[in-house]
Amino acid sequence: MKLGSYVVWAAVATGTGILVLLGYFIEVDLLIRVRLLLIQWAVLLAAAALLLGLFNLLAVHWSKVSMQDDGWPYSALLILFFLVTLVLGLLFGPDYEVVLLLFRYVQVPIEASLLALLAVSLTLAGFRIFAQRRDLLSVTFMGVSLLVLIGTAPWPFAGDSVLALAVSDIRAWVTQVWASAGARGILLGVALGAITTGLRVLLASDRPYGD
Amino acid sequence: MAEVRCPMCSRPNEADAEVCVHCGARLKPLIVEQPSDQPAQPKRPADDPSPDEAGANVPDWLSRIRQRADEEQPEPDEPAGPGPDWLSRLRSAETEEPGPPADEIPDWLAGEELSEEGGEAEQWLDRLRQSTDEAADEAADEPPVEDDEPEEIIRLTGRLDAAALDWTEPEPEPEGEPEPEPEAGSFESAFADELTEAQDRADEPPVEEPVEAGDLDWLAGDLESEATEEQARQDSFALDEPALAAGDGPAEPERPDWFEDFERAGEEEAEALEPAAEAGGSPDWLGEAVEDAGLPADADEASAEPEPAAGELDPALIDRAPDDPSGTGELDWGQLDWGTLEDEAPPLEEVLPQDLGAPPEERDLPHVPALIMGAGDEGLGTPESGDFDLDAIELPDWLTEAGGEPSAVGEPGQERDLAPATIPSWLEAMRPVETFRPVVDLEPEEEQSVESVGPLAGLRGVLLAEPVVAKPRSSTTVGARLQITERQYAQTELLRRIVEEEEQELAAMRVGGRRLPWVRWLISLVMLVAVLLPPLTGLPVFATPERVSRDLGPLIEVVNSAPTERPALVVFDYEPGYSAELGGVAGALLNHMMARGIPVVTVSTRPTGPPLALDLVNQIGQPYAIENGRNYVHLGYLSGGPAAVLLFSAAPREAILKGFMLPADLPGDSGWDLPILRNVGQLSDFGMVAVIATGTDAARTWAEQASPWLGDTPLVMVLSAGAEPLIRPYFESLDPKVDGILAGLPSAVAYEQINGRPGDGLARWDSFGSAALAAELILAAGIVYGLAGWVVRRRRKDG
Repeated sequence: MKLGSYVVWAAVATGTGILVLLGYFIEVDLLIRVRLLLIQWAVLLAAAALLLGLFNLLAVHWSKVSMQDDGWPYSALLILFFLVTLVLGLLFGPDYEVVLLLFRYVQVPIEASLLALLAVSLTLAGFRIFAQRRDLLSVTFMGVSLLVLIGTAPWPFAGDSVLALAVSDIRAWVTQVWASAGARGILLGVALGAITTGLRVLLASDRPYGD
Repeated sequence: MAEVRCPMCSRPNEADAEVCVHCGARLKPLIVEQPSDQPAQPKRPADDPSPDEAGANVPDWLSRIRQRADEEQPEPDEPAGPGPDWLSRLRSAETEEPGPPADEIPDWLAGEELSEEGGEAEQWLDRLRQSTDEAADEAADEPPVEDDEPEEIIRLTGRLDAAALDWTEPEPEPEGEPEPEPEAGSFESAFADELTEAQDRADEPPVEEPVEAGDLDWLAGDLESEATEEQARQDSFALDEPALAAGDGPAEPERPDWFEDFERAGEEEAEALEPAAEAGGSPDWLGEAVEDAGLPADADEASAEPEPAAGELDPALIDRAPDDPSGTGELDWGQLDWGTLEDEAPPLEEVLPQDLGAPPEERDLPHVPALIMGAGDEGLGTPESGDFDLDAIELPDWLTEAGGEPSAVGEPGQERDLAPATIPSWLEAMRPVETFRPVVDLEPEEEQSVESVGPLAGLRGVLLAEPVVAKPRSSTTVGARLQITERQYAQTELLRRIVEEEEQELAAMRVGGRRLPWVRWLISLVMLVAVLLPPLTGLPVFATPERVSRDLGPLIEVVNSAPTERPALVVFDYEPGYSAELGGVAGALLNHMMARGIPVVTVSTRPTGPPLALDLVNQIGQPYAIENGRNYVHLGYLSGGPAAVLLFSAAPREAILKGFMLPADLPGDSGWDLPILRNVGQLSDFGMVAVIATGTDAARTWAEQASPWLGDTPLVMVLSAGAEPLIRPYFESLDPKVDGILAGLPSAVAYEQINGRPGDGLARWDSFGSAALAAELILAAGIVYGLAGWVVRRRRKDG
């Protein structure tokens, strides 16, 4: 192990983390300024990382086009529109009308259509699930799905009936009790994982920056 | 004190010790060197006990022979029982045919006689002639005398001894050298025992062994090999005789060894007869044996039944010999059929007593050590070294009778006189358990190398150390067995299958008709129709929600209590794909805020957020005649993820420097210079913060990073229906990080109804209800279809 580099990187990571962490507990003007400075550097690094990601995406698809791999025309279209958007954005800014036009009438409908296909795919999967498997998990999954869907969507008739109200209450009970309980468990697990990861980085036992 | 070191263990012993006190090896040789000037005569002290008294010292085998002979002796008149055929023919031939004249000797013998310098040859020939003449004269007249030892027995005994000594000696002894008396337990008898034992083992079938075959399998190979070698030696010896006969015969200067033995036997016989005649008979030990066997003890009696003596040939064989050209009855040795003689000779096991083949411990014979100082060079020889044919030995009747009985051992119903063979413990321990080479290939003696150096120089068949070490040997193991784990074996099998599959020719694939995914298309069509039908036809119409969610109360309270002089920060953190849902949900909130005149400042942590905010604000604010820079402003994209959120929460002006779609009449270079943001320096300066998000990550990031900087500023969440459960814990906790939640289109429609300002939520309500109903029906149809198919298949299987 190279002692010099390891100590330097570990000291930087630990010191930075401790300074940012202390900012949540100690309201000292100098400490707050230092913390904001460090966060600005982090934001700059994130922006640079985003820029590197864009270049990496361009290189990958350029390689596919040059190698004539499968699906290379799609890569060529991606590169084309990437360059067009980049040039327009750099030259005229993100609020340029052409850029907004491309966004409104290309990107938004495409992404909305993908989610619409997701809705159709999920419906088709629900239709086939009993034909493929008929175990307890499938029955439970289909029962809860139908219950939440019926309790959420409006009824074509008798929407104010006792049955509709009962189903609506059951749906609320399922989503706000059962689902919230599971969500809280997930959040607690995420929080514990984040604390552990933070402590490991602060103690230099976990060095994502390398040795 | 003088000490003698044991030749076996090299330990000191007293000088007068006979055997080693440590290992039991004999220190003094049994054969004591005698002076050459004394004739060989049996060593019998003066106080030698009588034959009866000596019977106590007679070995068991000889005692058993005597006892057996006494029991089977039919009448004392008969000199011997029925012997082998060749012996019967011999008797009849001697009685009927006169044989060669006594005064005539063969030419070769005459020549030999002439060639003799000394007179010893003449003496023994004279004695031979005399004994022959006496036997011819007294054969028919005199009855057998019991107390006299037969001359033939004496001659045979002497010949046997001489023959034994001859082939045990590596080199011929000078004439006149005395021979020791063949007494029981001497070297000659011991060697004869070993020879007989080897012959018996070679000839006896393994199945007749009383010992279990499984115990002695390892010895079977040795016995077979030993018998093979023994037979090879006999064959070689038998082949040597014709070779000698094919030579010059009597004129040959080198006579056969057996003939020399015959000469020596004659000399010994003559010398032995002299003291016997003086003592009135044969030696006691031999006389006793003869007496017990019922044989004529007198030489005269022996002459009554002339039998082929040493050096004499069977007359019957002589008859089958080539014609005597001289007509004198003399044998032409060169014309003898040695092969016939070899065949006529009885096997050794028939002429030797069976007890001779018994182990020494069973015969109660003294054990002869392997190494005898002084005598080993003379008397200890290997049977292979002598020119001695075992089949050519002619033994008397008593030996024949004694040896003939054990030949019937293998017959059922008869018990063997031998004790059941048992393996000694020391031999049991030495027995090999398992070997990969059960049969040891022994090279013939002729092919074995002769040691050239060292103390063992000249010996054949010496174990060489160098070849054992240096020569490559076959591996003692079958081979290194490849040891692999199950996983490695499985991988090997997988690789083998892959290789085999590569070699297989693929069958032509059937091009079947592609099935149209009609179910997928049908579901898509149904969903599309369900969404388009309400806006196109106005049907069906779904009733708006009558009940207000309990979550709307806090949210409406937050919006109603928000100050109008302070801008509200609205975060657009959702993707364009969710704009159809969240546009309608967030539209209800924006409509309420704009209706109250709250300035709106938008920001987004996603690059697609600012255009979405621009379009939604313009859409919602159009009825309210709002202006950019005065009623709303877009700060644009906040890059950096959670760190950017933290930075924006701590120092908004440092996180976003300029803005998005700023008005043309901007007083400064940044959106922060607009009048709407003039009093905003930190997050808590906003009147409220609303986060519109579809995923849980963006909502949690704002709830966690911005809450410390909010102060009294409320934070509300506008979410899709799917993200509600993960954000609700922040809303329902004791110290809530979120002050209000607006999730899903039903809540948005209810919010619009409460506000009395219908928006996009209510406009999409019928389509939403129709598509949800179609999805419900499709799922129900799928359940019915699946269950029906399962039942049908079950009935088909049962039926």
